[in-house]
Amino acid sequence: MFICQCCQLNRKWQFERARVPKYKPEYKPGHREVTCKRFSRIGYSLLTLLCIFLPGLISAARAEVTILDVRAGLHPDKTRVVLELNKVAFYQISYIEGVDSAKEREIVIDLRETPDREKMAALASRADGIGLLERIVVEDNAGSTRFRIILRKAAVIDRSFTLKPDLGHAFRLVFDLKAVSTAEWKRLVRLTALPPKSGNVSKDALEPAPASSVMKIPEHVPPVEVPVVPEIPPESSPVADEPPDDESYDDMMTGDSNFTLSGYVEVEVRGFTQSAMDPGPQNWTTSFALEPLLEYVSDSSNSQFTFRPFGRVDIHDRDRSHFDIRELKWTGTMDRWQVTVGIDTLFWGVTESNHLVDIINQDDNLEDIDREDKLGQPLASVSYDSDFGVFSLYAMTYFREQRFPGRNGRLRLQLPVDTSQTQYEAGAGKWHTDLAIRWSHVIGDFDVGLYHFRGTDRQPEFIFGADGSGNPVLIPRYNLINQTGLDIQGTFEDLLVKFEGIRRTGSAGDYWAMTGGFEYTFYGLAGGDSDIGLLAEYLYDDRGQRATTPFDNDLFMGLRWAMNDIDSTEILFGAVVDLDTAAKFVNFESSRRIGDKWKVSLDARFFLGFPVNDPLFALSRDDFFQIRLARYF
Amino acid sequence: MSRVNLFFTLLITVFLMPGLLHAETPEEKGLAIAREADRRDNGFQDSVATLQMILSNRQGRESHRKLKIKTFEMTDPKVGDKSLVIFDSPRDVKGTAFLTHSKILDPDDQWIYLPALGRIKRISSSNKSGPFMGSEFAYEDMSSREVGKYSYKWLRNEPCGKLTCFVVEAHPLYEKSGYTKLISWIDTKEYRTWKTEYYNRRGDLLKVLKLSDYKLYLGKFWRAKNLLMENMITGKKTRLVWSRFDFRTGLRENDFSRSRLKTAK
Repeated sequence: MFICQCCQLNRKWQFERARVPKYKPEYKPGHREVTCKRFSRIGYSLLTLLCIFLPGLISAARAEVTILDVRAGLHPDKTRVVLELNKVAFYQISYIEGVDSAKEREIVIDLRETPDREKMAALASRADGIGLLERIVVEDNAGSTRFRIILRKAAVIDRSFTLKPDLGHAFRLVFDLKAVSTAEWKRLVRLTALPPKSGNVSKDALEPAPASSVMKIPEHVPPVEVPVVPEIPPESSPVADEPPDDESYDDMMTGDSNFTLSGYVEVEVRGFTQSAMDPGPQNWTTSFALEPLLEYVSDSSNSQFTFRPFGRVDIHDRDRSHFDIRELKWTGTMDRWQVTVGIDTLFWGVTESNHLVDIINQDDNLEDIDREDKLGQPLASVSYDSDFGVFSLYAMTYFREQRFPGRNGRLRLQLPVDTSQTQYEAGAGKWHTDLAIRWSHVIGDFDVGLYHFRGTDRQPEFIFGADGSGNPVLIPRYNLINQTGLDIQGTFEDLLVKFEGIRRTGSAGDYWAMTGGFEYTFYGLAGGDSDIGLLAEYLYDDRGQRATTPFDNDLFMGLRWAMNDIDSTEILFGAVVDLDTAAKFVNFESSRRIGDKWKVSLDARFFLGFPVNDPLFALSRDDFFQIRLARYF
Repeated sequence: MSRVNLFFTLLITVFLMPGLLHAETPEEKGLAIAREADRRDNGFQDSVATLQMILSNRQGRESHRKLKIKTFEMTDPKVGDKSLVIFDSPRDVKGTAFLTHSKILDPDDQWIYLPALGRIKRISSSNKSGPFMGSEFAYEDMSSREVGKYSYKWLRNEPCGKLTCFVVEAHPLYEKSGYTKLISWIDTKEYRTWKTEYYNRRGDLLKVLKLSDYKLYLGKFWRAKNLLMENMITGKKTRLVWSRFDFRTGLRENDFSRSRLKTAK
């Protein structure tokens, strides 16, 4: 008693026992299976029409079926309706239109089984008002069950399939709705005659439509004609290499592939060109890092969960081994609102040589000294995307302390830092709540951001002290500050103009600082694919020599070369020159992909000619290069 | 004799002149074809598509990328569509997203989100002829095809298989294009493009794009599932295989704003 034209049921999900014809590749005019193939090629799965599904056991008797649940979900590309039943059921689909108004559109799914009357009424409430769906009505249709899917706009059941019981779910009939044009809708209504609402749904009505009526449908859908454009070799003929219409939807099995796991594992070798100032540290270090990323994205993508831990194990310098949670957060989006709760890493700013305005996250000094690796910040934030820009509010509940290399580490201050004696200006210490409000907007060629931050400074002051054994150490002290920051980028074709400025007030004194400059790119160098960018930025801090940062009156010049090849080969070379002392911080970064899953990078940093009173003097003998090889998954 | 002449003159004047006056120039016909193709694609509102990009060099070495492209149709013909390209692989760029607010003749507004740094960067869009992700598709090939971006000239009609094709030449009007002209074969029945030849600034044939496996969506929108771009000078090829197209998914213009780049999925 094979009944169904199951073309649009994905073959993967058919029950093994179901006797479903396989498509045959040869073309047999007039044969029913050919109809199927043509249908699927056209990509229009109209065959849900008048399709009675008979999976598994064939039971002629009308049995009682319990409807366990009716639910609907909005996916980025479809509205999904799921009927959960205690056993598999026959069904028939019709498209109907209100008599007086074409706006009353319904898709009717008739189950042949008797409903469990008690449960029926309460069921459909969960499926109201989502996506294409206005609501679902479940009613008794003379002893059989009728689901009326009342639509907001014309839609078709694009795909339907049955899922076997698993993971606490019973049998599920899944229907994916997609919007169609009004003309298409009219055609569907014509093609499906609805059995009278009050009358018995006779068994005959549930039999498949005669083949002839099925065969009519393709006439409305223009078959793909294949022109042979001159010079196109024959193998590109769409008919010849038409793949079977077996689009694999990742989200079929569980209903969704909402979870993804990716990330990388990396080995790093660092070599220092000179011996350290102290006798302890070595000239070579080897370390391994792992940074997995687990993401959950809801069907509507309005709810997202992210977990991104990071860990590095250094086999030569144990104090550099560290673990951090970069992100562990939930983000909800509702129209113009967005809310994030958890641990987040975010970046503000536009310049390349210095990141002045970036303040939410603490630097991960153990990872690198370029201030681009950040520790995850626990926070809650709300932002509103208005017509006058985005307004965001951040509340940071816990302070992330800087971490410093140990006695045997390189790239450290002259004295060891004793973080067990860390001092805070705020009474609540680490638990002081920091607040920030930011406005950002795109005004023509300009991207502008303005914020005010009130809370604990991310950069500590250092106080001379002694550890338990009386050895001299540096004790970090974190002050409370108020900081206002502005970042602007103007984009004028090949020229980018960038500016960052901050004004800071607090117990440690008031000052302002800025970084500004430009980036000019020569695209398609010498007729090829590669680009060369020239960068120049001026760095200023009005504290001058008293500045706690090394950049008080400095000039940055840089060169960026992007090959734009398959392997994304890139090189960045730059130097920050202190205009007062002529000391130079030279930076070289390069990377390329190897195959699709590996990436290699080579970086080198040199500290040239820093005088004793410069904050970077401590790194004078720490010129180094590092090679990283990462495997992504 | 003169009477006959007069008669013919009258005949020509009465019956043929209006025809001559209204005869389309090849330029007008080319523009009409482009407008009609555009009109037929109006009203998709928004679309979401996933695709595979397969790059291969002359030696046949292949590299794969997976991406998702979301498009939001702007109804105003003076404004280009908005689009989001989100990378899934290669994995080192997973989560990287390109946002484009396209313009007709002005340079597009473009941003990139770099997940490794959590940083959104406004980028220059004057790099029209640069390769997109190291492929044979240039940025300008990936951007939205607005009618006003080109001037047109109909060359001829010629049979292409069962169908007849318009052969139309298009000249980019926007600055910094890497092309002097594009020649496209567009079928007269459904206005689908089956082939495009790209000529570089020197006027040589640079690339050939072949489109196949056209499918009809929502009874109105034709999309090719298979695009093959071949560089005639280097021999490199890039194939785009679209795995699915979804239309009218309910995306809002807001989903294509700069601030939503970070959560674009």
